[in-house]
Amino acid sequence: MNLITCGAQATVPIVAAVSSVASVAYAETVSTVASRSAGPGTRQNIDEFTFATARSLETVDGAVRGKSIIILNPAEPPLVIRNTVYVQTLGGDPDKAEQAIRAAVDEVSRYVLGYRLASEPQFRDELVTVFVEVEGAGDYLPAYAGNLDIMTSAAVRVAELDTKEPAMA
Amino acid sequence: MTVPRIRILDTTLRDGSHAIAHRLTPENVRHVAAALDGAGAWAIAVGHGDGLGARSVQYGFGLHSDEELIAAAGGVVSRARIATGLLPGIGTRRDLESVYEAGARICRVSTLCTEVDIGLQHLRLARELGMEPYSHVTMPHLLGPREFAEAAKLVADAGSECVYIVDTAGTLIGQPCFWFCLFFEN
Repeated sequence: MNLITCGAQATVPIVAAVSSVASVAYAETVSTVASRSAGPGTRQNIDEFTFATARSLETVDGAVRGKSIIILNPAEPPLVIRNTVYVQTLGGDPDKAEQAIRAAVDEVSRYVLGYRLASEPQFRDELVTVFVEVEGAGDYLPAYAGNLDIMTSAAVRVAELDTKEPAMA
Repeated sequence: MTVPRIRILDTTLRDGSHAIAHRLTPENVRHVAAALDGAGAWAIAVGHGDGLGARSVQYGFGLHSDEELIAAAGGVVSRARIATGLLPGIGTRRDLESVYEAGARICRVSTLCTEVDIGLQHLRLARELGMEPYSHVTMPHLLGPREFAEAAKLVADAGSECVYIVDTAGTLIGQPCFWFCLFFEN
């Protein structure tokens, strides 16, 4: 079993939420991660991050085309991972979309504790823009490395679903 | 004393497209590229201001694809080479292959100087395709001369034929500039 990228973990639930209440013509994500939290694997295969994340957006029901961008930011002190999600819809009700987005954020934040909206979702014409960030738990890796923490948390969640048993506290 | 050979790579049709929200048309490109070629420009950069793959909500979709614009430029030049830009994380190897087919023969891979390793796969592909791979390395003040030279070595080893020191923050005046030049000579 493989887990999809940190960018996809953070953004696919948002696209799925919008697509549950509107047709999605196009989904685009921009993930900004701290340089220090991007290891050699990501660096030497940055295209694979882009391809895999874009493809995962396209697996969402009704999303016709996906695009993904990743930016490594060397700023000090390091920033927590921030994802901008653009969803181009065909019609749909902004209020329903906002409800669905907030429900998705609540759902993900149950297994990724530092997952949250960085600001209010925006609606302009048929473009929905959502900003989410992931602060790491800071257990072992630093708190800015939410991109790494979300993978660990997602792996635990998948394991729980797979075994149907709660993880040990 | 030998006179250094100066080659002009004109970026009007790439960097200039920011000012008009990347709305260059193939007709604009033919007009400007033909004039630059006639004036003796060695190379002409063409495409979206933010490089390959940048057609997006984030950076603006523009009107035409880089493939269309590059093909338009290639169709009117007799001597100048056509250059493309790639920012790893935005553009990908697939985009590079596609513009090579359209006629691009120089690839400038642009990264922050602290992140040059994210562009090595694109430099290698450019070389494999038979393009001239160049590195456009920005924000040199983040590293300073010695570490910047190490970053330059990394891209040179991956096949980069030229490393631009791109002072995007405007810090390299006076003495810092002198130190950068000295490290490069050595």
